[in-house]
Amino acid sequence: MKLTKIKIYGFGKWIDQEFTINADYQVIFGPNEAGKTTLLTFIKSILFGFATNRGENKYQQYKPKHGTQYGGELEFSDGNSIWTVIRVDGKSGGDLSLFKDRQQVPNNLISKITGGFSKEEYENTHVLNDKSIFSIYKLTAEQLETEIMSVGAVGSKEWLSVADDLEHDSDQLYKSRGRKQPLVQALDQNQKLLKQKTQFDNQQTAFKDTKEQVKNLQASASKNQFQYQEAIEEQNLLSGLLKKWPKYQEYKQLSKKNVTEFNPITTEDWEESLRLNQELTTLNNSQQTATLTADEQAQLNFYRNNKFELDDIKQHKNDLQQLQFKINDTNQSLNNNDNQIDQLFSQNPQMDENMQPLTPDEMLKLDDTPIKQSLNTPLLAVSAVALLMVFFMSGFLRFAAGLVFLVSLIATIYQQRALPNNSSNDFLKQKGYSGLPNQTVKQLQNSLVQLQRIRESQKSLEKTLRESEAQLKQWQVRLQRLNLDDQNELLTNIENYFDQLNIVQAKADLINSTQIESENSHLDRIATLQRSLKAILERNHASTMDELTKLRTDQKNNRNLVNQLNADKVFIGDDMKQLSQFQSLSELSNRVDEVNNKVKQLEQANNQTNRQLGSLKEKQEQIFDDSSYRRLISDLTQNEADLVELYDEWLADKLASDWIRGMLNLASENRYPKMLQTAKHYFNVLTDGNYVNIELNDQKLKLVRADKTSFDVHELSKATTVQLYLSLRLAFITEISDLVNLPILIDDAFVDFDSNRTENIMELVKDISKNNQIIYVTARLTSEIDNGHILKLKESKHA
Amino acid sequence: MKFIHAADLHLDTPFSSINSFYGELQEKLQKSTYTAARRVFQTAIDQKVDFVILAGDTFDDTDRSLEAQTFLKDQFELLNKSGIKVYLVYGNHDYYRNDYSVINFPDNVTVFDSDVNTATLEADGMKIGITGFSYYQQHVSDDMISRYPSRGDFDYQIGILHAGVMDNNYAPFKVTDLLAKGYDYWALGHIHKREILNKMPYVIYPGDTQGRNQNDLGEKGFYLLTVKDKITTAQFVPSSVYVWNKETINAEEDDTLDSLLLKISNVLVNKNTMTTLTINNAQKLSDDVVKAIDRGEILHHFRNNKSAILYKIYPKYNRKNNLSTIDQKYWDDSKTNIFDLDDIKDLDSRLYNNEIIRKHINQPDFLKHMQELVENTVNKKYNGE
Repeated sequence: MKLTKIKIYGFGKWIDQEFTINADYQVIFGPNEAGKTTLLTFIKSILFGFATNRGENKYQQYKPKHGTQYGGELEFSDGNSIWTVIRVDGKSGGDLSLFKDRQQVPNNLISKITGGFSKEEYENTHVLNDKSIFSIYKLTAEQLETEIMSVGAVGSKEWLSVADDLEHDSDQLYKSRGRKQPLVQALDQNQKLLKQKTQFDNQQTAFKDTKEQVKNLQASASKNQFQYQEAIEEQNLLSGLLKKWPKYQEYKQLSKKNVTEFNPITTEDWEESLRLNQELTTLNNSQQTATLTADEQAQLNFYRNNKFELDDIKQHKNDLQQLQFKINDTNQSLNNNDNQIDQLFSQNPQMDENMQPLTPDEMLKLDDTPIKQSLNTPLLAVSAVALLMVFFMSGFLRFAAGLVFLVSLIATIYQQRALPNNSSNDFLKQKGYSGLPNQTVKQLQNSLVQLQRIRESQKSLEKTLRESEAQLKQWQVRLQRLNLDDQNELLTNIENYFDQLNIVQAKADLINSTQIESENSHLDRIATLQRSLKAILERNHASTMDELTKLRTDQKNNRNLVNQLNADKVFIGDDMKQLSQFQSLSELSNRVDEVNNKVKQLEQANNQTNRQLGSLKEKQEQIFDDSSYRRLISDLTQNEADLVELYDEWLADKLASDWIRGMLNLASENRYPKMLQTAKHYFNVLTDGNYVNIELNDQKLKLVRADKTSFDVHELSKATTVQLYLSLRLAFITEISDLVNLPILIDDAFVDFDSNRTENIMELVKDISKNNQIIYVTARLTSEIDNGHILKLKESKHA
Repeated sequence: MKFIHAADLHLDTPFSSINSFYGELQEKLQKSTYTAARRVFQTAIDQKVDFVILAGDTFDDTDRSLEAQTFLKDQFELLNKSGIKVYLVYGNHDYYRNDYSVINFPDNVTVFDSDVNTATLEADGMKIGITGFSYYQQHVSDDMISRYPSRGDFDYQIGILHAGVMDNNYAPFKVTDLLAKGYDYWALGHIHKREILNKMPYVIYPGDTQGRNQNDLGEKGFYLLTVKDKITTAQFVPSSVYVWNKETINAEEDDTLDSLLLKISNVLVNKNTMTTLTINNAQKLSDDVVKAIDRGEILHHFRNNKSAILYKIYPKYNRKNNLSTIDQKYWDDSKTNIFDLDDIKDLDSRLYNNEIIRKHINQPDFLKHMQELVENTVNKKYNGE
């Protein structure tokens, strides 16, 4: 469609403006800042919507500053009808209203005008400005070639960059030889986890295996346990036998002896025989002491004569002893006192027998007496000074000094003489201390008091001794009279006498008593006793009492043996049979050792099976508690989800990229042949006839110069390459013009072209505009264009 | 007579992309398959049913399922105490292998083997036959249905079948084949989406008891069947701990981060849901908001939600007319070249050799999914960056 009229309500600088546009081409001329670009933006905005106030777009807003309405109208002609597009301020891109021949029609019919193009697509195909041309210049030769080859699709440049981005994104996720990309790592992780999984035993199999093992072990354990119990029992039995072995040996020895008891002496017989024998012995003994000797009789008589005296002595013999002790004791004390006195004198050499202790008064007096003083020193000093003065002074002073010396010397001597006379006391002399210093007197006082006390004690002791000795003398006289003084020890004499007397008296008593019994009955008694005894002896096959005693002893021993044998038998008890199986202690000991070893071995075996059972049960528990396996499975599940997600993302990027490239290739392949026909002509015009042909061979372009030389794209100069690109772009627009016929907007795109080339472009514009309307804004008018096609903008037109 | 028909308990199913949630939620999710199973068995006891049918894939991972086996054993013993029997087949996930199932189930449990067999029981004065088989390998391509006997001398006959309709890997069948057997009920398993394939008699996929991922949408559960006067009534009983959910919000040009968060809050209302959110028209969002989405900041914002949980966000970029209609033809032509499954497989052998990726590529709707993703990528790229 052709744009025929522009009507602006308010857009940027433009307020209430109306322009009529030529249907073929329209050159809009104006100086910089005249509002040319704003005019082009207005066209795009009315067709496709205003820039929104978000992001970068907000700088492309052209809301008028004063109260004028934002927007305007475009009028298009399709040859039959007039289409009016009105857009004013409103939500998301503005409020659109569409009219066909002044009748409002649905907004979606705008595609009749736009051919379904978006603003971006329109800008990418139909809008050529310095920016888009420069961006072509900036491309590398390779990029440019790619760009040229994909010119066959709408917005191919943007599409290509999206495809590149996607390709790049997919490479970030996965590369077939990569190592760090997330999908690669997820794959590695998957391998690792699967490998770990195979390392887990099958849980069921493991459980079954261990169950079987436990069963077998338990069977062997219980068998072992049974054997162990048996061995322990035997061990106990043997240790019992071992303890009984000595008794068993004893029993065996004892049982060899014949210890049958035969005619044992009855207890009655035995006790009777003992009694009889005793009585006989007594009777026999009593016959030997029948008479007293003469001495004994004399002794007895003497006693009877002096009975009173002797009994008194016997009664008081302890007094005598006391007396003797007392005399000894007193003598001892006297000796002690003498020793003490000697000691006191040896300790105090100044002490004299005549000295008496001082009374307390006298002691006080002793303290008042001045102590004997040394020479009067000040007086001596005066005399010495005076003597010196005598030697060194002269005249009267010499004389006076000599006088002082003499006086002081005499005074000193006098003083010395007067001292002893003052200290003498009469009471000291009287008490025997003459010639002793007071200090010594004082020191002696303690010893003197002691001495006085001892002397007093001596006196009383001596008196006691004298009295005791008088008493002893009386004893001696008394005993002498009774002939009891033959030995020095009086007391011993008395005791000896009475001992002797007792024996004699006892003998006399016995004689008296036996004499009472008749001689005959005594003998009869002996005979009777002997008969009884003999009967007992005969009954027990013994001839004498000694023999019977021996017999009795033998019988007693025998009885003990029998008892022992019985005790042994009881002790050994049921083990007798067991013991009898062993010939010797060593045989039994060997068996004990064997059984001990067996017990030990079984114990070890038991422990081992128990340990094995324990570890098996632990293993069973581990089989059940498979938390590590669960973690692994959980990790694996996550890994699988990650794998799928990452793969999808990678594949989506890759396919999207391929899809876009595929689309571009298809478009190029389809459009190129026709495009090339058109482009060849455009290229020829733009290069001023220098190039005559564009050939497509095997996806590659060949450019043929007028001289028939052909070049690859990369062999062209940059400027020529850009001309080739422009040719293709314009050829593409021409190619799609039957689908999309929108005005081409050229905004000072060729400012850097020299005038010759600019003219070539104007030539081209005129040529293209036969098919496709062109609106060309410029600040430069170089070639001759008929005024009917020029719209001049002036600064005055600015609002 | 009452019985429960549940399938695809998938005990021990692990969950992905939950590491950022708070610990309690993670644990609740990890235990959710157990919790759902417990609800099945508790319902059996509460409703005093006669028996429970588990139509395969009771375990998610047969390599190590001791905990699940112990759990089941305990649950089965509880059922045994209430006099409830259990009929169980193994499916493609928990197919029977040597050394499998080392823990013995109690006597009330009947496990079918690889041959089609019929178990019988008396309940409610009726003679009941239950026919089924277990998987002994991961794939069963045989026509197993032909081995199911025609209706026997029973008052009520049930067929248990772990299979996919016309799915050659999983005991392929047609509903008409099943109906031809003359059974009273078909207890199916394998397909996680709940579906009643036929009424009179009922042929039911109860679906899994707990959704296992973001594609496992909607309330999950099992069926409680009541048979009275030969009439079977089916009641769906929900059991999911969390329901996987999809929500879509539309972005507007004047949306800020705050307004978007508010919009998201407004759709996160259903209790115990794990929501996958699509933000439509993401091209309208400002760069800052798009960055906040891409960096996971929005997801992070909701990470402590206790009940209505935001699981993932997918921004959808719609076309802003960035492709000229004049090039649409070439765009479409290019698309047919690009979305070629064989070319995609050949794109990189290292990737295709990975089992997970290979499986993903071989998913039936992979190309469709990829096309959406690629278009989203192109749209996002062309709009924003």
